[in-house]
Amino acid sequence: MTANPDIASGSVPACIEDWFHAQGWTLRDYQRDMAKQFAARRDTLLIAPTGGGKTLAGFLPSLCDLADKDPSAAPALHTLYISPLRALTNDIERNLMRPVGDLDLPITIGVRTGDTKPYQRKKQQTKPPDILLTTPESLMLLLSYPNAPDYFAALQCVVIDEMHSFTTGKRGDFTALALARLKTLAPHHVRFGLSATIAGPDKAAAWLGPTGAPADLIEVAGDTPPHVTIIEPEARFPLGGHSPRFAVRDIYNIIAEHRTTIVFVNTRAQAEVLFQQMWDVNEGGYAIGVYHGSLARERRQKTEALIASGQMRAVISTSALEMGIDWGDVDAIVQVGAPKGVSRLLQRIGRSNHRIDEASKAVLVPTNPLEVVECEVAIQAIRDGHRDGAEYGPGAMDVVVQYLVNRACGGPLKKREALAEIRSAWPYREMTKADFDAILSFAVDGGYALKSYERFRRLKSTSRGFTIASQPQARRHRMNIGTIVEYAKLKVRRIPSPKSKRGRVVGEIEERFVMNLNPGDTFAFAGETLRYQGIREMAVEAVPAPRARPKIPAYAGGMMPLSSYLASGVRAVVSDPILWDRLPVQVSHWLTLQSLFSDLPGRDGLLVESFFDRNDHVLLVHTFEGRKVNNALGFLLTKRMEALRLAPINFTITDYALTITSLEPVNSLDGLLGRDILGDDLNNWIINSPMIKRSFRKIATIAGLTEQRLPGQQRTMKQVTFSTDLIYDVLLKYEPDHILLRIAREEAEKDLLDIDRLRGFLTEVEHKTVFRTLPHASPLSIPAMMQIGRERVRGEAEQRMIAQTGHVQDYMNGIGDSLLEQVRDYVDRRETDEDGAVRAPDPA
Amino acid sequence: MRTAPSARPTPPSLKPQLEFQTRAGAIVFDYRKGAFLPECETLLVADLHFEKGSYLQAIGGAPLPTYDTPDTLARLSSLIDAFRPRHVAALGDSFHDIHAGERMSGDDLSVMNALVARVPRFTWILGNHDPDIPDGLAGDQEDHIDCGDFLLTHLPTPPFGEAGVNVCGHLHPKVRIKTRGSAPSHPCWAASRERIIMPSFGTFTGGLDVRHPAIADELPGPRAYFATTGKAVVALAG
Repeated sequence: MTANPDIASGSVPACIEDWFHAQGWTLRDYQRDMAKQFAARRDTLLIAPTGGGKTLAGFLPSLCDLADKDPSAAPALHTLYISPLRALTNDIERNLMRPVGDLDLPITIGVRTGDTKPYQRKKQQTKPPDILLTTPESLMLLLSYPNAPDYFAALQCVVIDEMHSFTTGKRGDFTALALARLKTLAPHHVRFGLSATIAGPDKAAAWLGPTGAPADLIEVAGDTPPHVTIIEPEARFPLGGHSPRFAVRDIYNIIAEHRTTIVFVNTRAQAEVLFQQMWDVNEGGYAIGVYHGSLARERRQKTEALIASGQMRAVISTSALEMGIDWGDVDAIVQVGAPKGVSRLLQRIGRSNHRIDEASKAVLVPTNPLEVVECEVAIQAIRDGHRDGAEYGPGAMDVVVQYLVNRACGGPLKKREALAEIRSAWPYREMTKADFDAILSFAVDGGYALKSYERFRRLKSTSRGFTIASQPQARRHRMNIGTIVEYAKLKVRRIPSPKSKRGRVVGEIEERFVMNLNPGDTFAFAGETLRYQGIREMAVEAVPAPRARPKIPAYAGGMMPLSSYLASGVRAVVSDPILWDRLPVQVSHWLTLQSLFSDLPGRDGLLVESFFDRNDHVLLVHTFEGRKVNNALGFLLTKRMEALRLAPINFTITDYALTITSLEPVNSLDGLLGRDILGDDLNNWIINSPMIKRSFRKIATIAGLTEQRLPGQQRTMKQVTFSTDLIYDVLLKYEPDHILLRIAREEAEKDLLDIDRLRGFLTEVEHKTVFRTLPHASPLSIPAMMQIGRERVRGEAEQRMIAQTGHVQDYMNGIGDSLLEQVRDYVDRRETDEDGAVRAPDPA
Repeated sequence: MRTAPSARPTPPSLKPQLEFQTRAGAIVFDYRKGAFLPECETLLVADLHFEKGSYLQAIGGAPLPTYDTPDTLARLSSLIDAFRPRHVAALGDSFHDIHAGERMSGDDLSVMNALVARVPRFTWILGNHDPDIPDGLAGDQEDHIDCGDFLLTHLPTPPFGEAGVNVCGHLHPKVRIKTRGSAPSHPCWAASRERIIMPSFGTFTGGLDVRHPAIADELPGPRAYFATTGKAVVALAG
């Protein structure tokens, strides 16, 4: 209980106010307001632009309340801070220690994430710190222990940082359930959410507040909009692909002109590539680093510390560095590749120069002409003050399985109170009893119509409620908590020479990539080139190979979807020559060429092109309607093409276009494209598609059907799992209404396709479709053509191509030694993209 | 090899069954992962792994559905209908583990016995490490079968004589067929002059790539793979 008279009345103790002055800061109004909100026990959502002292505002009430803590009182958890990134918690700890240390406050701070060592965890259990910094997954783990009610009983405050970044996905659903549980354990604590500026903040406030009562909203206006420009490269923009190689020197010049630069890229592979390229031109010998989530913890922490102390001139990084608080001397941000969203871009720009009254500075490096247009539209959107909206859907049900099993690990679980607690989490406020029963049934024993002879149980029913059926089940659950499902990874151990026995773990790499390596192959990792030796003790061993030309590891990663705002903005520019004078000359030339060679997409119409390219016929549908619409259209169109014996092979989507390859040419759109396409049995097509099986794999992992393989984990018989495709096929055949299949279908429809929007689009373009048959690819089609990542079509084309790979004749006469060239290829050849990144074959 | 647009070769039509002449005689591969020896009228399946689903439930703690046993039985039944064999041989690893029989449902046991009764002879072939066949299950048990010059076993075993061919299981071969569109893998028969390794038949069984030494080392000399694509059997030189 608070003894401090200041905080009880909502004002800030003098010592803390003085400390602020000593730093050269002024205590802002909204920071004082947070203290008042705490005193009044009002849940609050604070929305402020990055760099505005938001995080400090979140902690201020707790620091004030704890300033007068009785040092002899038993240790108890006062404040829980939740952040989406481990890097962030380290950052926060560093920064919180400053006032605590300077003022000699009797406040203890602990960090609890996946990186926390066992002895530290033990200490935190027996002697809880006053403030615990953690992630949603670690919080769920803490809630799974039987001592959770005691541990959290004295909780006064929960601070959720960077809320906007995870509330609309499964991780947000997961966090909402954890928060609901906390509310039951400590009914009187206050919730504070900290968020960057977003559109529709009331939804976020509703998410934060206990159901039925949105949190209070404090919005802080940004002062100066950032200064954002597009790079003016010495070389030309490439016509397609995502490589920044053409601008390496220009980026280097920016680094040379600033104190500290963060260069953001969109994927880990890109980070490694660009880092290598940067070192090739690093004549000034600047300290340039690389940073992403697959690097070893020590490496990441070292880089973070170097940036904080100003010793790093530049860092090439993925979104892993996107969030954080004050970071010293970062005075330039470079964004490589299209930003995909305005809010995300602002988030990254906000990492520089967090003096709230000075403009932050950023340079965008688009990597193909369409990205140039997208950047232009994004810059305009920033000037107009536009923000991306967030789509809040109902909570995901596979996450509820984890929550139920988690609860049962800690103590008996009663149905009615579990449902009530779930419904108190905003995403689940409308969960039906029927759905709850189905999910609980699955959590208990799989919920199958077919019961095993020996009844298997994950949860068992007792007189006091459901509990976890056994300790091994509890262990299995705890090892697999979380909603982030990735491909199996292996540790990478860097050894000094081939015969060395000792080496350092430098990070992790996806198993799929390793399976395509042969001893002697080189690959880029952690900014070095390494030569693959082999696998020993479940780790990849590799020696440094400085002069070799490396392959780049590919990581599976979701592509950020383009906001519909930006998509329609791009189309508006592309379709109207009057707007082209804003664009670099090269890009307006490219568009002029397009208008001469083919056609421009209409402001409201649809442009479809058909041409032959290398080996196949290509249909290019320029919708500019976003990934989901293109995905849905891809399924429907290829289904039609299959029926018309056009033998579609695969399709690829970008946010702007749909590319379909086929064995037969498309000579007219009659019978192909039209509103009636939606009458086709899309559902049937989807449930047999590779796409839904990928969704199912993730759902199956989150629901505990299969386990994630952690890097370096021995594969024992117990952990041998097989492709979830086999489970999917069997369920589809024997129990098509099973809850997991339902979840997969709903997810496919909601997240990957957008049928309503497609319907609207097809209606709109019905009589405004232009179809051009061309001798070869058009300028506008090149960015789409260079996109990798194809959705395979199961149909005639595949059967025909398989048959073409050859057949054996007179084998037993020994003539079997004469091999067909095409077949020999498949053992050796790999797909590579323009940067030499090795793509593992599609694990369909 | 890239062909010019106009010279697209007509692909051979895809067949649901493929007959293959070995030095021991003919063998027919069916796209449903069963093989048939016409001379002895024997239907071959391998690695049924009954009760793998319930095993992973019991030992792995995973809430898997246990439809694998009835599904495997249903598919085996279709093959028996299609071929009407005089003899059915299950080439080992028919049950996933020693306690499979205890976990199996009474219904499945009845169906299994009925299946066995439908053919004049049904043999469960056992390998060295094979779990026992459960009590109460009909059919005879051997460690190998001779069918002319074909030697049917679970584990790879050297065949006898100049014309001998060993047909075995255990290794679950699968092969990647790389086309322009993608490179999915398919269960397959992996063959050399003296040995043919069967694909695994059981519903929840995965596969091992044919390039893995465990398979490659058992197939010295020229190799061929016969992949099942779900609709057809395709022959590939390896």
